[in-house]
Amino acid sequence: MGLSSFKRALWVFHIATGSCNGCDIEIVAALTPRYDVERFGIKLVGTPRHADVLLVTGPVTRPMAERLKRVYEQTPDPKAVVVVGGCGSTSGVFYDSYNVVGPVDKIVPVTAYVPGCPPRPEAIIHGVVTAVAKLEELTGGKR
Amino acid sequence: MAETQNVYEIPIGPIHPALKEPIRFTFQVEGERIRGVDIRTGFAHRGIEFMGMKRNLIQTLYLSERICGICSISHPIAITLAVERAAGIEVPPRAQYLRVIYSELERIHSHLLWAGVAAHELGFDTLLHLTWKVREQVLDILEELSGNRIDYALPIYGGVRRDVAPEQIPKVEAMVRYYRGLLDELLDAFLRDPSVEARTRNVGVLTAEEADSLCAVGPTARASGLSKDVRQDRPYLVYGELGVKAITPRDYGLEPRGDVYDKAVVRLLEVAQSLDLIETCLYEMPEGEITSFPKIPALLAFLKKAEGEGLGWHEAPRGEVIHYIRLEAGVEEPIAWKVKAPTYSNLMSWVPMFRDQEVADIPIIAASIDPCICCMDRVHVVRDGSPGTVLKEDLLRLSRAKTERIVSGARLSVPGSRPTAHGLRTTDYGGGL
Amino acid sequence: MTADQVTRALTAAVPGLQPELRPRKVGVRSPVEVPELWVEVPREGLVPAVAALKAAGPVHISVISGRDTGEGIELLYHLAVGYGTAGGEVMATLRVTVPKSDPTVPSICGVLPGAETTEREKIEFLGVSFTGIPSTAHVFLPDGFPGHPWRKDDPETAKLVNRLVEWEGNDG
Repeated sequence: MGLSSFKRALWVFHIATGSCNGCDIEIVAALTPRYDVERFGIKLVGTPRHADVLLVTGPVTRPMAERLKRVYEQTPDPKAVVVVGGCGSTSGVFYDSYNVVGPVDKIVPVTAYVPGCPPRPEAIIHGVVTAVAKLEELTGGKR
Repeated sequence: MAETQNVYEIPIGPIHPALKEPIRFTFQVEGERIRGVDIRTGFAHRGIEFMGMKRNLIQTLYLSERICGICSISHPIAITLAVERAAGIEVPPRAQYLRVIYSELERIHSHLLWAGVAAHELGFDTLLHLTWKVREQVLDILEELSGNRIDYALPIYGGVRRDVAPEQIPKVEAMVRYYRGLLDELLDAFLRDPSVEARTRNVGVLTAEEADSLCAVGPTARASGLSKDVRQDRPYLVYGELGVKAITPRDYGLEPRGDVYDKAVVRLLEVAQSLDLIETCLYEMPEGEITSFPKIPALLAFLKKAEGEGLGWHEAPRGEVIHYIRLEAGVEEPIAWKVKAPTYSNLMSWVPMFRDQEVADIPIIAASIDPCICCMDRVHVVRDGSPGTVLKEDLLRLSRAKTERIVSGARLSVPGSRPTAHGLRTTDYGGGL
Repeated sequence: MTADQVTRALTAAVPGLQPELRPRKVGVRSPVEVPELWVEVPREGLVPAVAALKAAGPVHISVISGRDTGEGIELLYHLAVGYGTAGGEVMATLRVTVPKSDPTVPSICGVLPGAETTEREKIEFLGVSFTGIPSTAHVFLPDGFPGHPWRKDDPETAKLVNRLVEWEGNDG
């Protein structure tokens, strides 16, 4: 896996499902000059309909569960879902709340998990790349 | 509302992350003008207080850090102050200085973060990238001191968990020098740029009276000219001795108007203030212990026996944070815990700020109280019952088109020049969708 | 603003109040005492007490906290009196206890419009009601949420925690 697995520029949609903002600011940090994912053609888009990858943060609160499903359905195939952060991966510290229905993989299928509270920008980039490589494998390289 | 048939509703959100309260706005608009706004919160409500009341206090401390990833020092400071008050725990002097250093570092990172987001909302992405590039410097220092870029786990009941080692001091000093040298450039980019000024002056105004009666806090209140800062008014830690003064636009030689521009003034000047505080603390900090309970099991055993109630407050980057806690002997968990984050107080300020503003100004006004708006996702325009969707990108494009229009308007005054085509008929927006 | 002034304002407005001063020592080199007042207020006395504090100096409501005491609901109004006075704010906490059989409290929004959010929050979490509150819409919980999470005797919230019921919230 390396840069050769990037068949085309990746468009990423970010959805926060009740996160604490820690992961969200690290996602933005990944876009800005120190990490600069745009040099790989990865960019954040404003709608799931344009996205190849969904970046999901947060433990999925009750009102956001339905919206997460809707965003997932709006994303065209083939798509990858990357969970960023410990609480989205496992519910983390929010496991016993009345308003949390996650983790994310209980709501939508997940391609890759990026644990950490919050994960570093490098880890987030690695997560996206891993998910795309896996997706290419599944689709036989045809995208 | 003179002609109600011309008033449309625009809901925005809720897919958009904020601290404890991601938000959906429902705007009533008449043409381009906002006539009213309804705010619905609770999409990211995780029931943190409820969970905290079922866990022991150390676990609750970690939970408090995850109320907000940006204020991950402010909330732990408020809860530790509350618990220390309830249980009667003394904090060693050095730890009090260290807490100040850590929270001022957090303020720098948070204000720079805000400045970048604000620039982005105005369509000034170069400035977003500049501020976030320089913000990495303070994150490096936070990582150096705590081991993590975000979520630092530094305060603990009775003190702090990590000291600033002698060999780290030069690194912190270098950071202070770096930002001091940069500050004028930032002030130039934000406050002396005519297009930024045109987009932020007299936009999203909150008058001093409104700020007062709606209980606004933090930079939102200070930009309206209210000299309110918890660090100044209700001393805690060593802030009283450090002589912190609330910063208002008057410190920049301006009469406060309470608009977005003033909010930028306050936040940028506060970066400079935080640098001074960090430097003073580094030099004045006495040697000594950093916690009165080096062993966590001993701390837990002590807290289990404690009985009482207490308040802890702190001026977070966005304003007043306050925690109330009540402990009962024999139980490990707090029997009552209430958290108040600054945006909770500033929520109502949005209502007067949005009134009679333009749709294109929604992103910058919403961002101006710094509710950690990174993402304002979807706008739904409902007309005659049939929904059409305006995406966040469209809203941003509108905002940017307005910047361009203003800039080209300035060029227009040059005889013979013509406005350039922007490809977007912004003036048609309100009725055209 | 001094603790004495606040005490006088409170006792003049609602006779019989006994504010308790709990000063806290703050600082390292030249410690100062930051005053904190805690006072039990009967619910009839709440609005006059808040109005008296407002007349005494600018008042900021930090938050209303509360808890289930078993027989009743205890609400704590944390008010910063003399708001915006350098080194001169007095944190006054008014404690109002109401029985669970009649958990009604007068709203203070008429005096402090900024109290609305935090009053609405208490309706959701503790099941109290405020007379004269401008809006009772939910702030944090989905509309129609079956329980009141901070009540100790609330079985509905426990069921949701343990995922015994699937409940799709309606957020309006």
